[in-house]
Amino acid sequence: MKELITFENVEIGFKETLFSIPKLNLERGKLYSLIGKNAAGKSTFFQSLLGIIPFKSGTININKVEISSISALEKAKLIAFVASKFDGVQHLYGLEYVLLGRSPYTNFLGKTSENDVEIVKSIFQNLQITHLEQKETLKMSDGERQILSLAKALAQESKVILLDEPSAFLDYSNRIKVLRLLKQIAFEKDICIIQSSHDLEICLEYSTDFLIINSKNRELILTKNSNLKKDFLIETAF
Amino acid sequence: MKISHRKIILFLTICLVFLSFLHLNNGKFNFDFGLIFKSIFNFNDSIQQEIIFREIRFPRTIIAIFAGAGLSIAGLLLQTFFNNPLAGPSVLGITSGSSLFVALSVLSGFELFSTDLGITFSALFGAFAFSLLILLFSYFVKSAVSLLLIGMMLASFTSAIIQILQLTTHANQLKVFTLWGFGSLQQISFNQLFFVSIVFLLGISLLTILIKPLNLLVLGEKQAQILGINISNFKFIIIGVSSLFAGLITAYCGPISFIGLAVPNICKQLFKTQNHLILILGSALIGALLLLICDLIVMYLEPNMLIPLNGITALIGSPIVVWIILKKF
Repeated sequence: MKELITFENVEIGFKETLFSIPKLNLERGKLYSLIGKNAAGKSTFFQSLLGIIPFKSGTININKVEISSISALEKAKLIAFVASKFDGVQHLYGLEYVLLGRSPYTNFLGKTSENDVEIVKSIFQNLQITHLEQKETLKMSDGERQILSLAKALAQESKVILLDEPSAFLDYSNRIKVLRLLKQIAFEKDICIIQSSHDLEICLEYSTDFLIINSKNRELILTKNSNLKKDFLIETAF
Repeated sequence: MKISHRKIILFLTICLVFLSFLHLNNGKFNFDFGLIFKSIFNFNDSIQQEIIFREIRFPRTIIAIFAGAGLSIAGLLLQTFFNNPLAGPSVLGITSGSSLFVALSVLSGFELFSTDLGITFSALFGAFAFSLLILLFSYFVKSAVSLLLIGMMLASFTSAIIQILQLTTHANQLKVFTLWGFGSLQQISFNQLFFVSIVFLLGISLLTILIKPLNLLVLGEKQAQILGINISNFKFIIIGVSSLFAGLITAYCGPISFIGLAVPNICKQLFKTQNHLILILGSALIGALLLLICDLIVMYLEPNMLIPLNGITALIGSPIVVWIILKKF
């Protein structure tokens, strides 16, 4: 079974409906790019999945379990989230920050085990950022912090990773680096990654599937990469 | 816990033990340990020196440790919760809440309200009420500085009400309240210590379940929730514990300013960590040390002049606050 998240007659929005999802299945091992205008509801969509704000109607299942019936702790083991920006915290070092991603698995004191440290260290090695382990997060560049936030999300060992415009504050080379990493991670770890973005060119190059919020009828549609043109994306979404 | 952290904590503990005995011995260096232990564990009420130790010096030392530690922990919790290095029980108006309700109960003239228990509960109630008020305001203001200004407005508002109340009361009640307002560690008796210790230990034990949520709150409320912490539950425990410490100490020592604000910042600079297990331990130790030092200064000056404790904490605390502002804002 490749199906991971299923949507049925979902209306996303808090007070008023921002967009609807009649029927949609999202699969493991794929990188989805979420495309839509500003204020189309991309962040709201993520927050609804994370359970921070409710959605208006319909059912969303993850692993065949209704999303609202999952506790905050169980959800943390299923879904990880990377915000568009992490500003860094004084006296919080790279390794400690990523170790916080292990919180869903630690005891009530938050004490990390040797196993936790091992998992996190191997993530640092895989992402080739071992030099950030002992660096203070406040003193890092935006690019370093973004990769580190991705490392924290990976430490959660979740089935789904959501990224809200992960490359919005990054330069061109870092944008490509992040997207290439995401594609590789989705494939290697067999997880579902959804990233929202306004970078159509880079997305077309690295993303396999597109979730487009149609600006005309306000529906979320899934489109495969192979038959996609940039003009079509622009026409539908904007 | 890193080795360097352990060393600092060990050093602070040794300093605390030494200063506690110095404070217990009225600031003199010729210790008489036999007398100290006998007056606490094998008390003989016919020896005057033992009475002085048991009823005056011992409670003063213990409450100095409790007050310094409690106010600093309350400040640390508030600073992490509101993500604001300048937050603290006095700046956010929480001790003002206590003062207002203590004033209402003392100046009301009802016997029941002026008892120790009455004052304690008024102070706790005031602290809780004003904490919830600040929590409510925090939903509407986004800027860290605005919230502090609201806290200061709460303080001016309550002090205005207190001044009006003072105009209409009898001299005796006014004296009780005015002395309380100066902040003092000499009001508490040996028998009251038992009750204070129990409430204090209750607060300390609640802290254990807060360490993990506090460590995640450093990343913001949203991230804490995404990492599996049900933040709406912990929100009220964090606010509750900080009000408990602030209210309890305000009830017995009066409104002591600056300790809760300055100590967590000194602690973070010293330990350079965001691990709240270390920050709580460190803040408690540094807070207790600092208040003992402040009270020792009061003690040394006593023969010549009576300076209120609040005067000393302000003299030491306000330069530290300016230093924080220069560094962070």
